Amino acid sequence: MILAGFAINVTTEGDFTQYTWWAAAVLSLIVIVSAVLKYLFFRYQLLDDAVQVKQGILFKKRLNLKFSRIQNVNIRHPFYFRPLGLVTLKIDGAGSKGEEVSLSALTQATANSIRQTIRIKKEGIDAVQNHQTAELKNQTGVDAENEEAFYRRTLTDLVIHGLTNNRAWFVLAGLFAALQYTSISFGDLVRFMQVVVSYYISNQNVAFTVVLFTVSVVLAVFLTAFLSVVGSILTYYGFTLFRSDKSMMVHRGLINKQEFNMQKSRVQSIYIRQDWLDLVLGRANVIYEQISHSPNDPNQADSGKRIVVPSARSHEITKLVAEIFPISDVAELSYTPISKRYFYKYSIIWSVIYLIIAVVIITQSENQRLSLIVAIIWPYHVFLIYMIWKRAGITLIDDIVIIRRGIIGVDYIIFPAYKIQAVDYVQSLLMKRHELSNLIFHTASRTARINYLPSQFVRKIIDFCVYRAESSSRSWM
Amino acid sequence: MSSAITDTVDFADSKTKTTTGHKIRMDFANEEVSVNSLPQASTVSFTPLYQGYALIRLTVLLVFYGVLSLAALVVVVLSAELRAFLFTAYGVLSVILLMLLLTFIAWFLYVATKAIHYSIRQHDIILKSGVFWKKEVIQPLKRVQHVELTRGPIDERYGLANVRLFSAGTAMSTFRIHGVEHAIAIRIKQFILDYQEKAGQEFSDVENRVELADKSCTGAEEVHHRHTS
Repeated sequence: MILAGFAINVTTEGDFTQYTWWAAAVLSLIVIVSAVLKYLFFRYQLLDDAVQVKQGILFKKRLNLKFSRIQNVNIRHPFYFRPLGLVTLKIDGAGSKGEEVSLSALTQATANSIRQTIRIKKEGIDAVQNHQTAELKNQTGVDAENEEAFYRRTLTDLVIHGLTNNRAWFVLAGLFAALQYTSISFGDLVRFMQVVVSYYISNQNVAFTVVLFTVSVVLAVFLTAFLSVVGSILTYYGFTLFRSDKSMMVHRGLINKQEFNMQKSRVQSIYIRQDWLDLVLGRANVIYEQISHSPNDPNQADSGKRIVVPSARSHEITKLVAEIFPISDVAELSYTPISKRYFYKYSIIWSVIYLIIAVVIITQSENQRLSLIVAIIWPYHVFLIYMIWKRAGITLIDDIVIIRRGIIGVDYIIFPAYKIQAVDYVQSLLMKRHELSNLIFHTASRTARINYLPSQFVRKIIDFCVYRAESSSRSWM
Repeated sequence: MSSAITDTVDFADSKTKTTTGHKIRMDFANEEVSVNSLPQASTVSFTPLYQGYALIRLTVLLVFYGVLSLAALVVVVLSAELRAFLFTAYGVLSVILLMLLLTFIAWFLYVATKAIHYSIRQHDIILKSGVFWKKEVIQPLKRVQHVELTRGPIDERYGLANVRLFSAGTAMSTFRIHGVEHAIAIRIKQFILDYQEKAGQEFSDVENRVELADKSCTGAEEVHHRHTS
């Protein structure tokens, strides 16, 4: 399709239609033939201990994904399969990106039975790893029926989620993708806008320009909010979280329905994320995170690697966290604060920077009003630094590490000490003088950092967590 | 277990530096472990890298500087404009600043390499580094997914090697020790492999039990079975 768009762009007037038709015909032929070939050469098999996929026409590819390495099995209902009653089964491995199996166009029944088989075998392995052989039979037998829907999101929740979390990109990305199918390029749109804007600005007075600018900003804000709400509803429509003793499952989606499955033992960390608007409305997103190889993008919706519970209320958050880790309400816990020196240092550094800017403006620039802007931004920035200092904190409840952070909204990162991959202890020369240091936890899902804690305290936490990681016989995966 | 964990494993006969540790007393909410008995990462002894490694690195950098200044010389000879600029006050100043910067980089490289120390305990590896920002990374061996030994041409010339440990998570959390003697690097690798094998034996017990467990489960009908053993 991109090629087709390219063809449209390079051809000029005369041969335009002819080339396009040819390109389209050739492309669709290639697509159809390759699809048929791919279908004919695709084989999958469930072995005793692994899923095996053989594919490829010239370059044979064989993937053997052990059950013990499978992280999730997800079912997607793409809209084009829905009239046929078919689904796509996606199996995510715990390792690299290549460890992914995607089985398309299965019947719902087949997909369910494959998922069930994998789950039973996997839980069997995990249960044994946790030395619970005796209970195994009961657990695997009744697990499937135990699944109960314990959490739903209404349309109102989704609207709130759309307003507080920018999901507009989701719709915009869809629009741009759609644009590729037409003969309008993105550059044409921009050029058109430039012509319109410059026409208005050159022909009208200043007041009109200001009004035009204000109106367009307000419109843009409303449009973004609207698109964001639409995106939120498209993604999370009918959000239902099912729970059982060992796993959680999510059903969601309006056009493309998705089913995500996540084993509780595989959750590496829980991230509770709250934007400032969330704080006003008393909501926060709860994100269950699994092994991830890419840095975390907070705006990313859930995928095989993570489950996002959109805009949960505070009592719901407690329940959602308790589902995985045995702790009570995170907001009620007492946290070890970071040193006040954090606030002193950064407020002084930034104040000096603002002072220099102000001096430069006053002496060099004719427009003295610019210094007024500095006078407004400076205290605001210092206030933000104060809030960062105030929010930061860490606590340890039994085996669970909880890091609190944020600026206006309050975020929490929760993970069990025994699941850490590595720990860093960092200290600058200045910090050493004041017996302070930074603490960095590397978990398989994210890197959690907390700065300016008392050195001795950090040492103790590190020793404890390392001890937990090394002495625990529980599998972190 | 907790007392055994503190024993450090010495690989090099070279000088070991001991950091003075703090006396630690703290009450966690957890009652299972008394914190005083926990092994302390701050009291272990550290081993520096191969003694000449900082010098080797510095030499490589100086050779690079030499190539760079040759190139700069060619440009100066060819460009009359640049020559004219060099003899102004700004030109002299920028040359001095550049020299200072290059000297600083060279000094920093040397000192930073000298600052790297590592220590191997029974269950983890600790790497200490940093000049202005002191950093200490603790990598539990249980979380190491695989070990890699790499050698560049310079490493081969001086009989050195780099050890890299990969754990789960982002690439940022890769643990590496550069510039250790090849023989020591091999022993470190072997130590980790032995450790994993020991852990693996525990796991193979588990696998045997998995087979037992499999027999008690009934799979879905549409699944193809094939025995691999």
